[in-house]
Amino acid sequence: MRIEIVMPRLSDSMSEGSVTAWFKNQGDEVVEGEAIAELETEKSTVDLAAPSTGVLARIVIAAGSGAVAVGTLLAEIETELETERPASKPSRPAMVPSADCSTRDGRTVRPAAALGKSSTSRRARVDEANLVVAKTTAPATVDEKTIAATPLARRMAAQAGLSLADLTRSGIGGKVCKADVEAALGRSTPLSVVSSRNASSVLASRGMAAARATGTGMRPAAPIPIDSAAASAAVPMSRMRRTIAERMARSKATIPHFYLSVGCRVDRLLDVRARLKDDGLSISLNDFVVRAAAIALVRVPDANASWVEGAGIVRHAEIDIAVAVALDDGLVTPVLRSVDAMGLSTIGATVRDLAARAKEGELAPHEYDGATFTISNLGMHGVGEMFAIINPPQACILGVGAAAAAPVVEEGKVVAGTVMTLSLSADHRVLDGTTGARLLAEIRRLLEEPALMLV
Amino acid sequence: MADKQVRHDVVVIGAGPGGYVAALRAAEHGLSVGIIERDRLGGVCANQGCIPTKALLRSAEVFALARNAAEFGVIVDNPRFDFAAVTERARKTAARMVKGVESLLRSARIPIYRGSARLAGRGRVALSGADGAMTILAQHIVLATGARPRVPAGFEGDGRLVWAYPEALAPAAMPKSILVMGAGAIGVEFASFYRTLGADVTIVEMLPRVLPSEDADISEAMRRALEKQGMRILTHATVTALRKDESSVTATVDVAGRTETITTQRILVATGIAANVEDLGLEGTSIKLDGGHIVVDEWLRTGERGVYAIGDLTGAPWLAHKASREAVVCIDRIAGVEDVRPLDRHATPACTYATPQVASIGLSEEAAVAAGRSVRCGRSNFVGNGKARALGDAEGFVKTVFDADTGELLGAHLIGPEVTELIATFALARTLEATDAEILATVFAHPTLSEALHEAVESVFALPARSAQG
Repeated sequence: MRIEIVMPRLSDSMSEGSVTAWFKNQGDEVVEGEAIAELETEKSTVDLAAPSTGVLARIVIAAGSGAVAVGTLLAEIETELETERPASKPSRPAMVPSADCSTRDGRTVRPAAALGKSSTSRRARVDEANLVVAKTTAPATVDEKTIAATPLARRMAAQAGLSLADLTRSGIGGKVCKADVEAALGRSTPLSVVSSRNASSVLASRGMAAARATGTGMRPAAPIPIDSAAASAAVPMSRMRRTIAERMARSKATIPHFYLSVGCRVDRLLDVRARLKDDGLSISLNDFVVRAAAIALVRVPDANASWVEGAGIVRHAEIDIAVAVALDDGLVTPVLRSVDAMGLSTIGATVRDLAARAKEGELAPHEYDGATFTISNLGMHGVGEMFAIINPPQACILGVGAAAAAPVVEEGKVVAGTVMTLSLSADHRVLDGTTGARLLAEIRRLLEEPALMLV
Repeated sequence: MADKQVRHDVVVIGAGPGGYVAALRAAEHGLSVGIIERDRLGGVCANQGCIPTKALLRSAEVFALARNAAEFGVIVDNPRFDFAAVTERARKTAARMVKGVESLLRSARIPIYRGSARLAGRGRVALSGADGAMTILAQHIVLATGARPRVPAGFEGDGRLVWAYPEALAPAAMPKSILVMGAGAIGVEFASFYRTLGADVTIVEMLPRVLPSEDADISEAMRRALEKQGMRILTHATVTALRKDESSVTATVDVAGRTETITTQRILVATGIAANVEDLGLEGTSIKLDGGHIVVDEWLRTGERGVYAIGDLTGAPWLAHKASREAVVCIDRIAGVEDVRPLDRHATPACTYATPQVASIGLSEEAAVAAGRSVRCGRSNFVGNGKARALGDAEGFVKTVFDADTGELLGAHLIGPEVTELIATFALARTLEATDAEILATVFAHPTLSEALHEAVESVFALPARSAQG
């Protein structure tokens, strides 16, 4: 009996892999479970275990011959004729990188037979079904039909040229559903886009919430089980992680980012802060940055905008600033509404309240949806300068570095000063460099001359 | 006397279609649950809403059928109705539903606390009832106190000439004429009932059309149907003043800037409903209100930890099945069910049980266009449907709204015979994310009203796509 060994799918996103080494030569005897080859994917290197005891009858893909698609025939093992069909390996959760390869009985080329002996693992079933297809339609590709998806998701994915295999499956019964396709496309439904600016409406925030729940849910979902016996390095992804991965990848891939940075001398600001502190008012540097950004956005309204697919540039009347808050497994961006109307202590108290509740996972959807601008601050970690990825559909994100001692030139002399670097990442579809520069200049002016923030 | 205390995992305040479903669901999950009701079990739905009005409308339909019996070759001499018997049947139907709710709760061994409840600090509910005061401790408190008629000042029900829906259910006598303020589902259903039994009916609606939340084509068809039945319908119209006489009431109505007076025996105020948020102890909590409704997230959590709100309390649409679904979502989430899905309001049908019936789901054509979708609308008229012809009830149509690019069923809007039953097919299609292709591939029995659903889709997506090679 011939057993075919094909390139296994080691992760959800894997579409191809390469054979880096064969540990056995053609004609060698192999024992079930023994490592016979080393495989490499974009993410990891794993050993390929023999699916069955027998003789390595044929090596089809030589070591070092480059990447081949998942499902491509790599080698064949000849087992003794009287041997029963090899049992497949014990089931494993879908996310576990497994060195097992999928096998097929060489004489009974029937999907049903392949499926019949498959383990209970969804991944194993998919791979085995792929394998059968791989024989009839070369070169091997994932058979989209074997992936559970709603009819609408299937059609939308096909229209967008997305492979169902690459999508999350958040639909009923683990199907790929419409929301998964939209999440991969980096957009929620037009309905939500329309309503996202209307945060005061319960309906709107609820509609948005529903979109967020499947698209960009901020609460970590139940972790995907991982087999502790597996030694490889794949980390189970929370829903939040996955969402961040998808959104950021799409943002960086589709938004023409440009970056501007400016150093702000903050000695005077630190004085003001110290004086306020003496008075019992604890205002953080970040609170000042939020306030300065809000005022600057009033004066440079072109930067307070979004790019909405189909509609283009949407300029916002309200100034709703999101502040990135780090969590154990990702980040959330709670929103301060109408910040231009807030004083410094209100800003400080609101940020602290939102951040505390964000860490407890207690934010309501309307508290993290629909910002018009985002500020991300890594200054407390000593970062000098950062270039953040835009959080769509917003057009801008401001990165804030540490306020650090630096030599500055004052009246022709080098003196010690304190400088904080701000960097703006902006969507070039929405604004140009000069607009970004005006915004940054305005923020700098306010931070360097804090009295201007009083008015 | 020391305050009596009991402890539950979950306590539900209100035993309507939101509250009792929540309690039953919690019990199914093995949670300790108690339910509080100050009035009758079953809420407005069982007592004054969904159920008794359907009983009244059924009587009206039977009467209409008897009156038209000759059309079917059946001789019914001098059909009449006994108004007291009609309302009594509605009352009995409601009472049976209430009994049913009670026996469900009892068989799930859920204690029913009679009285009014208030939030009394984190995890505490203060109950005051006929049996005295007590405190119920519960980690999770589900508010499900529903809503009541919202009546503009000066139009409060007097139990005599001016009614809200509770009075319209069982008046002492059949009025000869009635003015209905508000052409939403409640107003139109009562208008239909009273008109079918022979009253002169005038509907006054502030907005430009009847059933204003429905697709514009449906509103227009409904208006024509009601006018054909002899109703007078005034849109862009508001009642500005009332004058009550001995046995009649005269309304001053502003109709698009022109004033007229209308005298009827009764006025039914059906201008909307208001959430029962009063006396719940919301003051001092982090629970937020928006337009009189409690603000919740998609898991029905309020701003206050451990307090949830479901159903009419959380705003439109004011539908019993919306409340029941929210109850399930809320409790499943509390119970830690992994795969809970928030209510999809675009997959939540809405029905009006007048003659003709109206049912809809998802987006109207206008709403879909406003949302930036390119749409393909299909339509099938019941006049061409064999079953509808045989029933002698062939007015109305089925309208479908599809996304022209993806084939997503964005909405469906039906008017005509038994459409409130037919809508379920489209609800299922939405949940399964079926496209035009799956609906077209489905075999519908002949002859049935449901064939009209298929034909509406067929009217725009007649042929499956052919391969490029042809």
